Amino acid sequence: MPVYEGIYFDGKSSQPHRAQVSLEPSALQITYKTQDNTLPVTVHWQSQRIEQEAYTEEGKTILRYGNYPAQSLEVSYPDFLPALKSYYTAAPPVSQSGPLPKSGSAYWVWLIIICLLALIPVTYFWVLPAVADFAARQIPPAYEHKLGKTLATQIIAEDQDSARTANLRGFARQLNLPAPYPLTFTVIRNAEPNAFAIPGGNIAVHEGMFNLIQSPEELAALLGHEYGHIKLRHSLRSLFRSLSGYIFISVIIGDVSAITAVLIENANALKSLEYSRNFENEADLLGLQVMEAHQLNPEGMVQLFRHLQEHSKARGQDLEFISTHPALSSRIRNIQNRIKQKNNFQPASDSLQYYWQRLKNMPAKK
Amino acid sequence: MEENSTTTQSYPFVFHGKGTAYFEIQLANWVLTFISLGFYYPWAKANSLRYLYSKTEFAGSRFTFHGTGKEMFLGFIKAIGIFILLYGAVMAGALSGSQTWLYVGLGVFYVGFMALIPLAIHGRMRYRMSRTSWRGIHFGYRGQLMRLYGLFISNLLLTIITFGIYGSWYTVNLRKEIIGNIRMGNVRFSYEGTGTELFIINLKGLVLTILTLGGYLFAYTRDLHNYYLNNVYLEQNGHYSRLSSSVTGWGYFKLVAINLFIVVFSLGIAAPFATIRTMRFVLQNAELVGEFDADNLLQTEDIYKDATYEDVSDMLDISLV
Repeated sequence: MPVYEGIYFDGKSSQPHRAQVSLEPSALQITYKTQDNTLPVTVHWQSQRIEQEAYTEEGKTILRYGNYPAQSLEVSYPDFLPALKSYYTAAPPVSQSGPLPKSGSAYWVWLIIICLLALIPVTYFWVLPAVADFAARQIPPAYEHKLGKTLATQIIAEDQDSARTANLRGFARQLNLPAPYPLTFTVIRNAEPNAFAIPGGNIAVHEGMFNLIQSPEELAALLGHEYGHIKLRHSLRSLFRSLSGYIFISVIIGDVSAITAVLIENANALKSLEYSRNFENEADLLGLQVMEAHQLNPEGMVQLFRHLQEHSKARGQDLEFISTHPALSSRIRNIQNRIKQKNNFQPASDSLQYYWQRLKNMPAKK
Repeated sequence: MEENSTTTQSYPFVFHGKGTAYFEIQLANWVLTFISLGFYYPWAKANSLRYLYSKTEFAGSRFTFHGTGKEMFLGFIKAIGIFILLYGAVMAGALSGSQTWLYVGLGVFYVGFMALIPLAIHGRMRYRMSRTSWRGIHFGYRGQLMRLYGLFISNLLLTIITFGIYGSWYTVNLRKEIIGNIRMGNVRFSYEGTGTELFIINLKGLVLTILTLGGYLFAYTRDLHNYYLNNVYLEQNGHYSRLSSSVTGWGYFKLVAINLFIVVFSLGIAAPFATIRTMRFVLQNAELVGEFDADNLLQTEDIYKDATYEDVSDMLDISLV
């Protein structure tokens, strides 16, 4: 029976004891002399209760044994551990191993790890948006309406044009837009041509928009588009998507440093930009459907975008990669592809014309 | 038996961790955390801490981290629960639509957050210390939660009243309380720095950093680092020793610059290499000097396995040197 030399700590003091270690049939036997050089002390470790330290250098073995405070043994002979393991095959020591198995079977483990790593981007770009979308759709419309109300009071409350608002509501009523909750249309005093939709059925149009657009069809296209955002619950969905993306990334990366957090935040912002492009196109299509339903000339939407394009060109800001709205020309192309085949439309109805005229010709009040 | 076992000596720290080995461990941790939807986190942490501790050598022997994922899992769940409650309060306030409830929600959130900090420090210190050993001798933390709360609140108020000037004294008082309650068997720790000294370091650091347009920042960080470590004393049967750190501003600069490079250009994937570099930098530049008898530490601390606030402090991002 080979005898190994090791360093033994008894768990009571930090005194290292030079010990003789031998593998006995019943238990691991450790013999050492106490400080005062009297009789040698022998302890026995039952093999199945021995714990092996996972992260040691090549050739070194660290074992622990017993209840708190544990005893420990360090042996620096490379052949000690294999001998220990083969001797006590019936009741082997417990290996307190890490997440990776020791070499040998490591090949397929790495294969799995690489596959899983490849799964991370797949999850991020495809699975996660789907899950977030699903979650967003589970939010009851009534709740979204409530949430939107809080937001709307903060955003829309600023400066309403009440006379135009009344006419815009009249115009929208004629379009007969179905929604799970009442839609609210508002005209805001702001010279910048813009329109937006807030979750919960609030659609706001800036006064400046009426200087830009020239026909009731264009207005119908605009409202149809914003209605599309609401109907398809775009704002709630993008909120869920970006939130889920953020949480996902922080889980994966764990706690790195502040720098990566900043990087991640920007990466995520770029992605939600990509989302809103898809969403814009979806909303355009829904807007077109609204126009079709009322047999309005879908060219109105093309006109609307042309006008917006002219406006932004005049101000020199049609940057495809920075703007939240996808480049207008690509949207115009999309729409034109959709409307090529159809051409049975009628002029805007009298009531639409009535409200349109009033909206268009109303002088901006100061 | 040698008589003068406690003459002045220096005991070095050596860090044996390897970036590649730690990277493998962390990579496996990430994958497992990912496929378990985050629930592997406590085990991942145990793996990582076990590795880092077992690669840290002091006076010829390694440290051991005894904590397990199983112990920390319960704490992890509780921590998640606490944070869901806190964020839930804000969300509920925001969604109620009434301003009053929004402020109530925010109030609950911030007060809850502040109240958690001492609890998280206390809980983490008790658990971490108890689950750390060297040559089989366990560390321990004997601080009292109420004392820590009293210190935390009174010093925070003083810092606010003095527009932050008291901050240096606050930091030192907190360190005195926390470090002063650490035991390593029968060895007592203490922190002997003073608020005035720290205040001078901060003042000098801020002024010179501004004057040199940030160039002095690394020297300032070096001063802080050394001030925090060099004032840690160990008392063993009436004999004293202290930590001695000799990091340089240039060393700090190299560490930070290269770590930044590693982390940013790998999009965070190579962060384990940065961790190993930092550990090596801190430990290789540190030693214990004085009358310390490495062979005669006695086991004194009781077993303590409650890891409830271990992960709360992770989520609060509290780091203790």
